Amino acid sequence: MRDRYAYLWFIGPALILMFLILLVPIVVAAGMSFTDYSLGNPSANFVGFENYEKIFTRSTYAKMFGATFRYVFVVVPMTVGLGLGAALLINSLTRFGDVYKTIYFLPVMAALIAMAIVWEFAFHPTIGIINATLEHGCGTFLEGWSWYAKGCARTFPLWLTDRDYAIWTVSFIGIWQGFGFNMVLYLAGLTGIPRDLYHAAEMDGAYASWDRFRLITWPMLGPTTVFVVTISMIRSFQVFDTVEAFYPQGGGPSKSVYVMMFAIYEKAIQQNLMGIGAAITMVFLGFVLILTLLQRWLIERRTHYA
Amino acid sequence: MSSISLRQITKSFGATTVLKGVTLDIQDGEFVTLVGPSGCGKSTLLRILAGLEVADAGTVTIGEADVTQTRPCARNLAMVFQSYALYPHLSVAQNMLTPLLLRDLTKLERLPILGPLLSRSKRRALNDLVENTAQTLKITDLLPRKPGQLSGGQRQRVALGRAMVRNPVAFLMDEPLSNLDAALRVHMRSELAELHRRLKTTFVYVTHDQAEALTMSDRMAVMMDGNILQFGEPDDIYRDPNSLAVARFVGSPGINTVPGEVDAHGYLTVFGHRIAAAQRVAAQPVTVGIRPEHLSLSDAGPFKGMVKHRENLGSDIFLHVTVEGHDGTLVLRSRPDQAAALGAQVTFSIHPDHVLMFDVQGARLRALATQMAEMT
Repeated sequence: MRDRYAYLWFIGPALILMFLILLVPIVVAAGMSFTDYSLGNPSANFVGFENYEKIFTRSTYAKMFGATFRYVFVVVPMTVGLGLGAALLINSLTRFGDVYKTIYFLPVMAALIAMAIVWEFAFHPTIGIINATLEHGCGTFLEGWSWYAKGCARTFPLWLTDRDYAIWTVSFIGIWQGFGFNMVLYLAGLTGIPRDLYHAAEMDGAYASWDRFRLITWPMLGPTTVFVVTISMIRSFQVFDTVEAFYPQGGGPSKSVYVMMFAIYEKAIQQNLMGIGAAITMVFLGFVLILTLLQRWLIERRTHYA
Repeated sequence: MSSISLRQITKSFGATTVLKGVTLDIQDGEFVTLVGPSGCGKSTLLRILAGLEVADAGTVTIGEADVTQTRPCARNLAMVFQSYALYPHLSVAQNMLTPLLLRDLTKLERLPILGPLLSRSKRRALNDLVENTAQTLKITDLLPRKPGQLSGGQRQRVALGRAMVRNPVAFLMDEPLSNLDAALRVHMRSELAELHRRLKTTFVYVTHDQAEALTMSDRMAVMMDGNILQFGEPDDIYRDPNSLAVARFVGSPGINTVPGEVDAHGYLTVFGHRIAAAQRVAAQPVTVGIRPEHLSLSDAGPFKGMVKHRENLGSDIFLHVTVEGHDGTLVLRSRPDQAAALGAQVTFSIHPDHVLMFDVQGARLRALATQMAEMT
């Protein structure tokens, strides 16, 4: 029976492509992470877990994890929170909703490299608009805030080049750039909530907006939230272009903005240390895998939804 | 005690006027059905009564209180939605508990973790209420399940349960049976009617299905184009409709309408035969309405026709008969043992007592008195 194998023709192309462009590279990278291979070398030496040992012991990589997790744990909650907030506000509007949608979504569509240059000007310590604006507040009640008074007395922070501020400034740009995307996802989620549920809640006595949010909006957005959080996490782990635009050399002041993607790029491409680059990549892959499994588990737990 | 009245309610959405000054008085404990074709404004009227929609003009009173400006939950009405609108993430028990929690607990007591600790005894009492209601509706074993795991009929019951726990002054139902299959729908009809008898609470029921209205309600209001055309007991509306529109809407299969004429001598003529005396009606062309059960096969019958279609319902057979000189068919009810075969030529007669006459505008002409049985 020739037809018994007909299914191979259907799944074959997809299977081959998946192997060629996804699985094979992963296996190659995994193999490479146990060597000291450099591009151009005829051969490489097997070094066992040496690359991984470096990642988990050397202080540079400790800084890498520090910067990455700081970024992720600031950007994810903020983009999700602001995305939800903006979606709820826009959803409650009867007019001009589309205008706001466009405004908030613009940063998502803009090329981040170009935006980074604009932000670099804005954050410039002397000619930048941020510090210039802050200086206008000097001499007012704002000086009651000790941080502000200190800024007036001396100078306001060098946002991008002070190691205490750099990662938070980059995170801020990440939030600015990312929450519009989450807002769109939440808006889609909101339109999927049946109107009848709100009416039922109103009949049942949930007239305060907080009650309605807790009883209906938040639970019904559960699947959207799982998706939004996962996507935001993966996107935050992948942050690269702002760091590359601001700090083409070295990952920021004292390596305080040395995020994983930039580390991979620096090691593997700039320094041609493929082995260690591949090892960081595998660790990165591990994080993403854990997140994905977590998401699947959460989704499965909520199968009774709707 | 808690009669409901709606006075001169008008409502428009944009340029379309959905309700054109509707007035409706519902007595305490009555089962009232609002029935009409889709788009007639019946659901809007119910939602205005519930408070989910604000009327452009008019007042709503429940008992003595004017509740036109009152928010929905303060009106103490319960609503059952067509989609049931159960909270999908909550179990059946939690679904039924929600209105009680929102009514009886303070904001502090409803907090996620702290709340249950503060209001333990209150919550226990409310849980008992849920338990009791579940027993009445025989859904106790469903309590731990989520709505997604229930069948349509079970969801229907849970929605009823959620409405019942609060002991509302009235139940509002917006086409609650239309998502059920035919057999279950018929079953739920009798169950709802029985529930109404037991609870003795006011029911306001919206449906497009005239059969539901006829079978369940104490009184029914037939609505069309934003007006109540007629409000009365189902029997009266069926037998004695005020207008052609009502007569056509109520009854299945629908009423037969044929052109007729009242002549100068005061006789009603249909298909060239005088069938009744129409007193106090001026000579004019009329539309004559005859229900299928008031046409009967008889060898001596004045009217002749051919059976074009037989509709067999088991207990009855409806014969669709074409009559010469008339475009449509007439539907005639007959007993199975008397029904003619398809294509057969039949003769039939009209019961003159039950003939309804309408003028060209569709308004009822109430003047048929004298029997004309021997006139032919």
